[in-house]
Amino acid sequence: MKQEYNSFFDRITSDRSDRQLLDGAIREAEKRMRAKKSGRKAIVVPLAAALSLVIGAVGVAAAFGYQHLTTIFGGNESLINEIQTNVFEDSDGHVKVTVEQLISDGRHVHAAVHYEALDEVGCEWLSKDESFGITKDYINGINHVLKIESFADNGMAYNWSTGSTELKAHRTENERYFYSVAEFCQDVWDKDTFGAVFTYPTSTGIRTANIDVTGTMEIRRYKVSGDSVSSKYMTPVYLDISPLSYALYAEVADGVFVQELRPDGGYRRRLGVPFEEYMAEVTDKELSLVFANGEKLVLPRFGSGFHNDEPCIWQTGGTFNASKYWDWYTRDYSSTLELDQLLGIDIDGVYYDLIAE
Amino acid sequence: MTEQQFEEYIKTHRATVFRLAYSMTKNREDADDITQESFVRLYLTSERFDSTDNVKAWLIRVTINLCKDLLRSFAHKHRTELCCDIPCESDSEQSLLEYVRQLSPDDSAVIYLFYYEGYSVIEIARLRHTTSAAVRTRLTRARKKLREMLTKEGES
Repeated sequence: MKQEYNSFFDRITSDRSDRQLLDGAIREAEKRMRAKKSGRKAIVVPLAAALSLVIGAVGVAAAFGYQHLTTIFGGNESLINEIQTNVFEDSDGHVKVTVEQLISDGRHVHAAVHYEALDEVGCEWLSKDESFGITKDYINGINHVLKIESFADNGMAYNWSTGSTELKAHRTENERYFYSVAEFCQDVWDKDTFGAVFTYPTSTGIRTANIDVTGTMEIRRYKVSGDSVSSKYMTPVYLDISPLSYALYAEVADGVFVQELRPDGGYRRRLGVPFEEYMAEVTDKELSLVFANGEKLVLPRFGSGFHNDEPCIWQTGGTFNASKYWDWYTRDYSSTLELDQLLGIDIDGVYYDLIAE
Repeated sequence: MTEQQFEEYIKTHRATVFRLAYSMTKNREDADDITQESFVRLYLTSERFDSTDNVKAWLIRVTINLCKDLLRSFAHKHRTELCCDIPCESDSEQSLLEYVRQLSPDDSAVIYLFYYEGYSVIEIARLRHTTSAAVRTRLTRARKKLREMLTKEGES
């Protein structure tokens, strides 16, 4: 069978010549470079443009949308190839919901969600903030009704955080756009295929759907090496990093957590040291990546782990500097993370080498 | 990169990219578009490659991502299916074409990379940023599906 298969594929060739491919590719590449230089956003959906000849205008409009992720990540070559388009769509007859763009490293997920009214009922529903659970009291502008979540096999939700913010500048009478971000917990990382649950309101009720957020982004692992001590409670062991996120793993000193017997006969972990001391030693450390050219990149810190497995997550978060945890809209992902130039990590002034595995 | 280098890359890797794209999309026109897009991105990338093998691996990753994007897109799901575009020389080739078409894009990609391009399980795992166990499982399942299809064909 192998021979037949290979003979079969030997015969599969394109009708276009190498010359045609070369000229076409260079022409397209130069067009995009000119668009970038002139300050126009280079909308990287050439495939949709090519397909417009086949599918017609409606399909192309569905393929383009507003493309919020292209706005955020478009200048970053590590990430632009990883953006998936139109990963999900649903309609209740009055409102259409589309996940127009999604990017994921299996740990952090960013999505651009588009709502479009299909009739007057949809328009009416879309005009109300209550349709999305938005009230004047909701915290930090984050909507927790529209969200992407991960679940472990036992059915428990495993998310550091999840929610959405509205892109109000693009709101019209019959359209609303949302930027949704989710950060998953360690238990659900590194699966071969990864289905997350997308929860979204419609005019007929809240719906859920499975979406694939596996991603194909490279996550590099580095051993953290050094004799210096940055914390009396945590010894950094290794660092996972992708262009989207990082996780710093550490071994925890004896006594930081203690096991105690629960009334029902099971065991639970609790903090064995004073809380304020734990916060100072574990949560308040500043982390920076150090590069070969001497530059440092301060890492945002989103959470620590109380995971039962060792080593546990010491810190994790989005890779790039975010001044506020909830300020997703102004995150700057425009710089490409030069992982090949990564030398070490600085934990509150203490330097460690990073050794690629 | 220079135009000469780029032309060399096209000559060396174009067939791999096209055939991989075809194995996943099952459509010659889509495979052509994806091939062009993969090389456009190669031309535009600022990544530095140590060897032509690295270029090939990079192109394979980009091609797989582009194929997945296309297959997920609303436009693709709602268009009219184009007719078969690979003329077959024999009945057995026609059968094989049908079997290849019935495999999922992910199964097709792994079968193509393993059997046709000669990548090892570990290399495929690295290309696809997954585990060797996952690749082995997918290969086993894809071979089983092909065997089942061949058996049914034989019985009929």
